[in-house]
Amino acid sequence: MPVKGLRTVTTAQNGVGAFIHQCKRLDFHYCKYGGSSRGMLAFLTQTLPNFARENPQIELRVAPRPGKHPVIKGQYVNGREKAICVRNLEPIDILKKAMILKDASGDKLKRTKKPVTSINESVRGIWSPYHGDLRGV
Amino acid sequence: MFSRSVLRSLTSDLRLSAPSISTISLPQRACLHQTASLRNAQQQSQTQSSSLNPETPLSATPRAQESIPETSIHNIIPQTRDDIPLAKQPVAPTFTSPLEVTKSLMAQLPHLVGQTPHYVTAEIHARPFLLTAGDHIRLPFLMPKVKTGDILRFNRASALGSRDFTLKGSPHIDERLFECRVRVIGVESEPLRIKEKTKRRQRHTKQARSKHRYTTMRVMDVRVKSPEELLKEGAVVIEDAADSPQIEARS
Amino acid sequence: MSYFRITLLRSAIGLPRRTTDVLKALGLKKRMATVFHPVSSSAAGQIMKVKELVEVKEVENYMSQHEVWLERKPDPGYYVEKTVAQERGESLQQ
Repeated sequence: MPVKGLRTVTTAQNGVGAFIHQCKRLDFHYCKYGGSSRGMLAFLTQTLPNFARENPQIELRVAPRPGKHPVIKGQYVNGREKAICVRNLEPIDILKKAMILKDASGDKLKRTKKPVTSINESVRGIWSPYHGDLRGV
Repeated sequence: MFSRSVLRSLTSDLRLSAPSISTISLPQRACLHQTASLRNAQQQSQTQSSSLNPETPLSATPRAQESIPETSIHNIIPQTRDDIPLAKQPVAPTFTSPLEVTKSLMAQLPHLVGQTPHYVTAEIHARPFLLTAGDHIRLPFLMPKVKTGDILRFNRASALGSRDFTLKGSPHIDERLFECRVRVIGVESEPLRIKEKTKRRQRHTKQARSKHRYTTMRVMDVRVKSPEELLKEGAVVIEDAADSPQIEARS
Repeated sequence: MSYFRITLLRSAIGLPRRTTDVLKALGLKKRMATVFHPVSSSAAGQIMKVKELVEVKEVENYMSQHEVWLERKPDPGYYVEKTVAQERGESLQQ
């Protein structure tokens, strides 16, 4: 059986050509009577229309969930979901939380030490002791 | 001093009526502000004291008027600051003199352009980042005033090269020689860090929590401009000097 | 009128009390702090006292703390070329 060489396949890199927002959908859950939803109700009536206009690429769903604290849930392209509880928060703070969900990548939070991650091959190649000139010390 | 008293009465009137003014009367107010600022400028040329002291109502009220309608209409965040010169702020540069390229650089540049891929050592706030096209960057800070999906240009590079050739800047390469575009992908945060703070001879421990947010980006392209492009953009070829940048070949 | 531009490079920890006092009189409280004093014999004498700790330059103009800070501030190295809103507007036009 002949040995098959590895074939290079292009990997999707979001943002190199077209850019797709990682956040697909935001669900806003609220309770009509609960005191902890008061800020959320104000947010839904005042701020949400503007927020929706600014982010036409995100699907927004508003659904009541009686008897529970208000929650914002974000659905992401990679299939994950993030939820933030916004009980007793003011509309401005809720907007901040919505922005967090909007800008997030959907991945699990990781501590990274290196700022740049690359899947490209090294531009300068790998150093070899047998090539190049001899350098005096 | 007549104009100053007139202006003060005018501004105080404005300030009194400011909450009651609806958005319909905005153009009128803008006109008023324009005239006020004009007069203000005239007055500043006459008397230096008003320009030196920003606390006077003369200069303070127009600023307030400016900010109120803007935020109410468009929700625009000002992109620049007054206390820092524009050259040190992230603003698109304006060039007064054409790009000067030495003869030797012009002769060597096709070698660098012809060899792909390229890398660039871009400096963001004097921190170097070695970048190639398609790289993912997580900046060690949250970049202010950018939104997800914005396209940025990196314009400070200390080195630019391919496999065998490198153009080194002293300390930076002229930003018109290359293009490095980057797209803001989003904002990432790190997992919550909890540090226990203890003091000696105490049972009490304090927990310090931190959760920073970082801007993430994707390098769209790293490109070196060819000599023809540079000439089309109005570059001037000059004679070599001792400290002119040169492309170094790998030995 | 020319000024002495004095920068404290080494701290006066472990040095005689007099040295610390001279630094205090010059207005140098911590390392890398920069102060400006008009050229005068008294300022020169003070600098002589702490010459091992400071770096001195004679300059023409006085600079405020903010200006000194601006001198050290690096360039941001980026600028926004196109915002999302602009890009969206362009795509709508097409």
